[in-house]
Amino acid sequence: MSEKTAEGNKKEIVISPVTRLEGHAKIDIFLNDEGNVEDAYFQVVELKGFERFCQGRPAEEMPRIVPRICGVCPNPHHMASGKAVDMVFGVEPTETAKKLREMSLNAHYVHSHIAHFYALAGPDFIVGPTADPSERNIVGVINKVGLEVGGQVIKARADAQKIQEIISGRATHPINNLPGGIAKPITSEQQKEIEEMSKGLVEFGKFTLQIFEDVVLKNKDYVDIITGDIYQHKTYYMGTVDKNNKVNFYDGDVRVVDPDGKEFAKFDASKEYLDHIAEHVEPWSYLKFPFLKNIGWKGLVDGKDSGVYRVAPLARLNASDGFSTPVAQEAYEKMYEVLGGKPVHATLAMHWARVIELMYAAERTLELIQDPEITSNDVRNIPTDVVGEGVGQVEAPRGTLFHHYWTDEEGIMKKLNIIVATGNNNAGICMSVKRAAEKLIKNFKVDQGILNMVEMAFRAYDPCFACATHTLPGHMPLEVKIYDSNHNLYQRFSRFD
Amino acid sequence: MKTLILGIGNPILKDDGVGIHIVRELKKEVKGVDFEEASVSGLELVELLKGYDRVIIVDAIKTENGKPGRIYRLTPDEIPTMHGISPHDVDFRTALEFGEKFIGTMPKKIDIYGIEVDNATEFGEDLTPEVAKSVPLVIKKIKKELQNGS
Repeated sequence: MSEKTAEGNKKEIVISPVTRLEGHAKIDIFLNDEGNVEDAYFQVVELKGFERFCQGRPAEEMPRIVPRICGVCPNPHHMASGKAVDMVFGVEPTETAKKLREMSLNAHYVHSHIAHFYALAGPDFIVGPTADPSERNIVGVINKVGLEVGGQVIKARADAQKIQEIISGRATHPINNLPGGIAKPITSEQQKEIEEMSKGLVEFGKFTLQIFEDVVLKNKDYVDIITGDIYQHKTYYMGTVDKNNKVNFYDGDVRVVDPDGKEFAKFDASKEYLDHIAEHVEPWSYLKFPFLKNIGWKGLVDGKDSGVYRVAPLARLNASDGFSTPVAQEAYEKMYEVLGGKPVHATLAMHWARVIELMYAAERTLELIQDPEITSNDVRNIPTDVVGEGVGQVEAPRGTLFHHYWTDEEGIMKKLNIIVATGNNNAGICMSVKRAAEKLIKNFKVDQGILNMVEMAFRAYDPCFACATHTLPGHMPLEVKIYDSNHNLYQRFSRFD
Repeated sequence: MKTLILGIGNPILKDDGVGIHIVRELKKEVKGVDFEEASVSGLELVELLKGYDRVIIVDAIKTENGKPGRIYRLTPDEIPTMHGISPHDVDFRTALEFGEKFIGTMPKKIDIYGIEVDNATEFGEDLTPEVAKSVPLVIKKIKKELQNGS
């Protein structure tokens, strides 16, 4: 953290990338003469040239290239890309291929949500939001919940990784998706191995729900933080649902509910996402701000008249009618009962929603591996045509993900548009950071604990910046920018630590 | 002594992939050690280290006003942050501490070669000229270290 007096006696606070904030992102907070927050910005660094990199390559290579955009969520990119190239080549995957893809994605959720809960959210809620930074990490979490938990975390993560590896070829950078399905089926031995691991993951999911209940829900201070007005925004919510409006990560319609929880839109993303989503550009951000086209962009404000929507675990729960699996459904009902009904606008309830999704992902993995068709060799329909355009959409752990490709008549990439989860949440993250800063920083009083509580506002979204800015043109952003009340740039600084 | 040479980075993000480039070259010339490429950090990175006595990590590095192509040789204690400190993961030292406590078989010796990047924000499979020049130099240094058994 550092402070500097800029022109006009504004005080600037920069949360530098020193704790769990990636070097590609930063938060700037601007104070007025009274030492209260005048403005706060959340910004990410741009990665350039992805579209150019892909142009001229065969579209069927895309599912193997896009996981390289990001080491954090390669699997959802692989899946969205797989679905996009199915459509580019006008071919529907076989049922077994769809189930295996979905299972791999669910295993990825288990892996990803474990990391977030134990390594990132856990330090805030288990060790404490204002604890010393040296204690506020995963080791501090394990010290508090019990040393044996460390081993269980390691095993569950390793098993979730192994399941992805068996189905998708490689865990970190999956390679198995091809137009019309996947490259190889699983054997009955692999089926048994995955089934055993999945049973363990279901138990681990239950165990994690219990930890959440014991450590977070039974601590009134933490519940007050979650439900307090520091972290509230009434927005629209987006998620993917099956035909019964239950959460599904791999397939279904995109459903949007309004701030009162009523269905606002439901659409097949592969045909009409551009009818519902547009992107706003702000001069101070390389990352665009997607919004609901049929409401319109009204700025970084919440409410029914603002087109800002949010994605990720809490949004998925708000936008659905629950889960298709029993334990997750029970936990879902409990969450809304405790938090006062749907929708829940408390950003920090994202953590609760995330552990419920961890439960669902484990149950769904087990359900899919026990499907009688899962070891079928019928894993691919061979494409015979090139349609030339395709949209693939899935739910990544951190929110709705869209891949849209255009090719020539030979299936060679001409153009692409990717809207990543963190992009969808960009407006929500910016608003949450600003509100937390405004509520917490008063009369120049800023310390590590307060700054961590500001960071908590965006950490709840589990944002990933590595891929969030990859398609935008421009130059390297500066570390610190200062704007006047009209958002005109009047001063720039480089980062100082 | 079971040794791993681990290249870290994104091979399609220009200089970010320099560690991967180096490990791919080394693999052609050096026998008797394991090689891995990874685009991961934090906990996943530590999981790759288990079971090894000795690990040499090769990664891209970005320091303030750093000269592209400069080679740094570091130990885990000397890096306040490391590739991909992400809001979705923990930093390397925390991950190592976690690994030592719960995995139990962390390497006794970990050394890190960091190569200062010029351009690690643009997609591309090639390295910028100054960074490319550092590749044979790092290979030479690592081979010498392995020969000396250090």
